Amino acid sequence: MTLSADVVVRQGDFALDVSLEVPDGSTTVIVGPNGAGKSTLLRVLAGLVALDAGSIRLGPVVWDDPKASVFVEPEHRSVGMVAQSHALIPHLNAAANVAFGLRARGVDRGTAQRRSLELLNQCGVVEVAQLRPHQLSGGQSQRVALARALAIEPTVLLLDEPLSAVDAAARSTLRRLLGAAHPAPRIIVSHDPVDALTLADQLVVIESGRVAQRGTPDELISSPRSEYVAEILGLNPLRGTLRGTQLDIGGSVLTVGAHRCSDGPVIAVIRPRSISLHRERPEGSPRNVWEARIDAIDRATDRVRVRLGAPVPLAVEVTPAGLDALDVRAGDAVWASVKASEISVNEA
Amino acid sequence: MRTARSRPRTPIAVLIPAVIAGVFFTLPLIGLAARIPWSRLGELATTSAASEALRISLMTSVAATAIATAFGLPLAWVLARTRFPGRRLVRAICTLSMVLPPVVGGVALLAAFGRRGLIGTLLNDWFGVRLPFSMPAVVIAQVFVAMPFLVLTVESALVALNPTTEETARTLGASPWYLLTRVTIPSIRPAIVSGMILTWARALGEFGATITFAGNFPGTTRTLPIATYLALESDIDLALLMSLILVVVSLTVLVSMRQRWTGALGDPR
Repeated sequence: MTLSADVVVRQGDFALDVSLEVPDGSTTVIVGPNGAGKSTLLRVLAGLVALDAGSIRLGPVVWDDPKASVFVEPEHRSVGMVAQSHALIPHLNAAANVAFGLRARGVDRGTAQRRSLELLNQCGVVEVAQLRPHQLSGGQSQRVALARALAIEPTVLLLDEPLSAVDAAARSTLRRLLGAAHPAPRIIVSHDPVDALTLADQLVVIESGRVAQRGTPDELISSPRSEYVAEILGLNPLRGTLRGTQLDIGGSVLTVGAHRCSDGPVIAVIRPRSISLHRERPEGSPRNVWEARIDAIDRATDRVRVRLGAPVPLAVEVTPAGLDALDVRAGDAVWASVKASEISVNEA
Repeated sequence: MRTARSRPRTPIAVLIPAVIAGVFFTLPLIGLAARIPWSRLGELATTSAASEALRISLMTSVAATAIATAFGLPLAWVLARTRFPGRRLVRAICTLSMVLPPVVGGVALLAAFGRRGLIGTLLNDWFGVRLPFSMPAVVIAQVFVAMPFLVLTVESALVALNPTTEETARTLGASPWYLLTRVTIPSIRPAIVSGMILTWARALGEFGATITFAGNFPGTTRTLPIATYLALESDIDLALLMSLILVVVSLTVLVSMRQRWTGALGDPR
């Protein structure tokens, strides 16, 4: 069922005013600077903070509507929430933490325990089932928290920095788990551009309690509307296949720097500023040099985004002066170069 | 595990007063131990006055601890978790007896529950109940003086509890009661135990409020501290022996509490 939220909350001087529509099975990633209201938004959706105005609905069910005096308590919303601190219950072991939601619903001990072990297994941490939270590493505790949220078959998944503590190899497993395992609206707060770009069907940028920009990752990459968006999301994610230091992107091969990924499908990330543009084929160190056509040029006051077309579609950021010196316009051909060390790879 | 680390040398101006303070606390204990007639230790069990006072003290202090816990836990929860006008005043009133001279507490209890007191008159007229100078009066005096130790210990533990743990438990479907019994109380168990031990120790040592409100009747209200005080006049050896009991009990409590506290602190969340 679709989650529709029209959130207005005032806390002292701070006001959060954000509307969201998250369809079943799709993922909305919320990004924004610290203090923008991202965590508050999750707390409002979970029912831990009540709306001052607006409404929250899941399909036909109203969760919060101050005008109609409707408020569903958090324990009756069945949201699966993973807090940034993981918030595991300290005196319960990992398995009992995962079983907690089921036990609270009156599921018998045996069934809850079995389901808990299944989920710990899916999240790759079944071996820590008997350990207490303080004995877990950050990554383990994060995965236990995720298993616990999935255990109640949540109507909505709310995740605050869900992958920040797990290592790169585990991330791809968990991304798949998040992406496919659960057919509910998913809302993820993240600081990690790779999470944002790979998980999101919809990206919502919140700044100072308001939506600064929203759209698909592609839309935000090609035209970031603020410095923050450009900085955090103005990255070029490239899906390709890795073999040693050779990255194959649809037939074009780039050389990448040192990495810890095994061969196979990866997501490579190139910062728009680390790509240089030239009129003539450049000589010297960069090993990755290719010729491309300029699809579009997007000028902002202090920076310019140049959108390159085939063979490797990329956003490039240059200074206005740099662009003037190049003297090119949309449709022209340019040479692009990027150092191998500027391409980071993440297992897909 | 404690990692070895280099610390600055203790300044002499800190060391000397610290040693003096330590000696100051140790000397009375040594003095007590030196004067105790160890050969008469066995008499404690056989002397009816002492064993009777010990029995009364144990019974009343345990009862007082149970009552203080049953009512103090909810009070602590309300003080920590709810917001209402006059909350600070309520907290001040509920913990006033910690700083009040116990005799004044006893006088106040008499004024309220005494035979001519505000509540005492009603109790007497309606139910024929006379509280003062009875064993229940001993328990009431102890609860009055000792309960704040439990309330303050538990309240500060509740305030220090990370709210996210409980919030997340709510989102997982925990009803208010389930949350309280399965998450909140287990999380503050060390504080509850410490608060109970402190309360019990305070109740065991209660003197002023008890003798004022409950009097001094052998076999009903004469507790060990009161018996000790009286024995000073008649049999000083017995007074010393009874003091020894109270010192041993209190020291045991303090040492075990210290382990409790450090245990709780060494257990990272």
